[in-house]
Amino acid sequence: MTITILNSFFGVAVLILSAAGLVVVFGLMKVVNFAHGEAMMLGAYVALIARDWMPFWLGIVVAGIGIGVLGVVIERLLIRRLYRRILDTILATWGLGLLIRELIGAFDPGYSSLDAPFDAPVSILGSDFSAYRLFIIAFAAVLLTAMWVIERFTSLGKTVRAVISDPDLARGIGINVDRVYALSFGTGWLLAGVAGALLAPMVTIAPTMGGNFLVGGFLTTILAGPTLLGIGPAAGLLGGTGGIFATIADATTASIAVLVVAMIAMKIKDSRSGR
Amino acid sequence: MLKRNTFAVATVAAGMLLAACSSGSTSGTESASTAASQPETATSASMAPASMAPSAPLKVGVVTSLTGPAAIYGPPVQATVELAMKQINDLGGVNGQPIEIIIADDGSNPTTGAKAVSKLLEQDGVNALVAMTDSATREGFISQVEESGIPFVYTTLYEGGACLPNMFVIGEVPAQYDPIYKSFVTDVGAKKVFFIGHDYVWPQTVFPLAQKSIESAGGKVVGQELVPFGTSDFGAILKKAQDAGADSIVTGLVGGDFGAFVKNWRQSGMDKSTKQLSLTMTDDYAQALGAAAAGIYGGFGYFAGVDTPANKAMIAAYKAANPDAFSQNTLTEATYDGIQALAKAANAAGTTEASALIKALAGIQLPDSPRGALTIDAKTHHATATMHLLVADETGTYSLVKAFPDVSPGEQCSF
Repeated sequence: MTITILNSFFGVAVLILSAAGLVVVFGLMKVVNFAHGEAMMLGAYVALIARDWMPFWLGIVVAGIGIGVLGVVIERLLIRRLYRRILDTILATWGLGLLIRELIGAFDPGYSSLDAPFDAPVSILGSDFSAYRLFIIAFAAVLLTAMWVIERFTSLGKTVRAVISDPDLARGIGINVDRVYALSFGTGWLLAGVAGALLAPMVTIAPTMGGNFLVGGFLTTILAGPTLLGIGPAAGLLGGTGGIFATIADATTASIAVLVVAMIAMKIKDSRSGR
Repeated sequence: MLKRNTFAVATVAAGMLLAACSSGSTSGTESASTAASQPETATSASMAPASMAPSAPLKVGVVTSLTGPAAIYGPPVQATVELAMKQINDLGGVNGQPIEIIIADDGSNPTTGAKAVSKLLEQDGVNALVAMTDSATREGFISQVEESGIPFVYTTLYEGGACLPNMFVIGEVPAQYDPIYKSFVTDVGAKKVFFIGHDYVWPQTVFPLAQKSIESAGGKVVGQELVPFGTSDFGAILKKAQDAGADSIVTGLVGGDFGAFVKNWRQSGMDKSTKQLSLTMTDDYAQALGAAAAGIYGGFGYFAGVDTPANKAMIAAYKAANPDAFSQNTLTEATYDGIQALAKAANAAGTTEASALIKALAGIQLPDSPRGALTIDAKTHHATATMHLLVADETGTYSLVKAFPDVSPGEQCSF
């Protein structure tokens, strides 16, 4: 039972990590970033390359900063031209993702492996559980708390809430919305880079790996709604459903159940907001 | 407005162009390298006096995955095929003429694969076909191959049961794993086995047969779970295996998901309480996993460490030609055998005419194949060959646990 609950928590944690960057970009900019999976993949590759030069943890930091800076550059060159054009940003970021995937594929078609900094399991209430999984759960909890604190209690959070609720009004009261957009996109990519690097030791690193996280990330983002904090309950609902059905049925049933629950939750949300 | 739309479309176009380029340039290299090693083929054949040229040169089309999700498999197959071509030609070619090989990319999907085969059959006019592709891709072009009537050698480890009068299989089929499973029970000590595989035809075919073998050797199957492609979290499944009291796991997971499984297995601590037999961890995959592969068992018709002079010579020649490449694996070596079998059959028949080639291929023997003696059964059109139970060490290198010579492919086809 302990292990089953912890595994469900882990599923929730992976959803939070994969969705955090998407939620920031979608919440603040109304941009759907289809290249998010590729940003995660790039983070994993940075961690893989960094392995030979520095400790694992420093590699995570480098991945976050590197991918974040790349995000700002992409915002300036590409996304900036497509503000408030949701379909165009979908098309553009999808193309960007394809481009990144093929570029990396040209250098590394293969299956690389990165070791976790701690691989041994720990004993919890008499059952073995992966220490690295525990760390991922803890990290996701800290990330979620940090997002909440920033959004609720800091002046940055006020700016963020102002831009989310009405960009034009925010501009009118003197907020440099363009700068907020550039930083939001950069933050979205930074979070993707960190998530990719952190999850890298648990998967096979390949150019196509981003796709595995994208569906869960998108479902969580859509359910989360316009605030950053909706990500918590959204990931909890989807990850919990996945965890329960993977245990009482099987992996295929679990992925169907997650989709069905997401659709029902969306329907309830829509009817509540009167749409 | 128009300008902004154009910008978005241009980004997509750039991505797609790059995708197209990478496949385009690969096939470009193909023809270039083939042409470079065979500059005089066409000329010498046409200039030879009619009395001295009894048949057309053997022109073999090879289909494999050079791009797409399975692109990890194709390039080494290509390098191996080029080695086989060079070795055959250095020994005087086929019927006195150089063998010619044209490689085509299946893009890891049936649609592109069918186009590649059309091109080989119609434009290039090949008189034999070799394919190292997945089953879906094979099914996509099999009717074209049947219509063409030319000999087709399939060199992929697959689920078995594909039968055509002009098709021959080198590559392991599930029935040949019988001694591997039995040895996993009796020699390795797997008593309570849990199956984990991808939810598609190959594991669905393999696992029931594996269960029979394991039970007949005194082992027990305590559970099974099939997962969708793209699964990287195996936590719940490993828990089920543990709750079922499994002391060992047989995995039939393909692609990157297998690597993810191995990490889940290690990080959960299940690697201490269970042994694992992987049906998909080829030599190079084990090497890529490195220490994470240590102690995992594998079962294949071939591994790079086969201790015969023929294998050592082949690997030395391959490494001399491709210094940066990884060594051979069961898929590349089977394709090597496929080319050798075609060359031998054409030499024996004295012609490259389809029906004569097919007749010569049925029952052909390769006593010095790198994997050990190999015979393509005349009745089943599948290969009887050696099977190896292997275990990976700390560097991800396989060593032999036990070898089983002359393992029959069982009831496959009846010709």
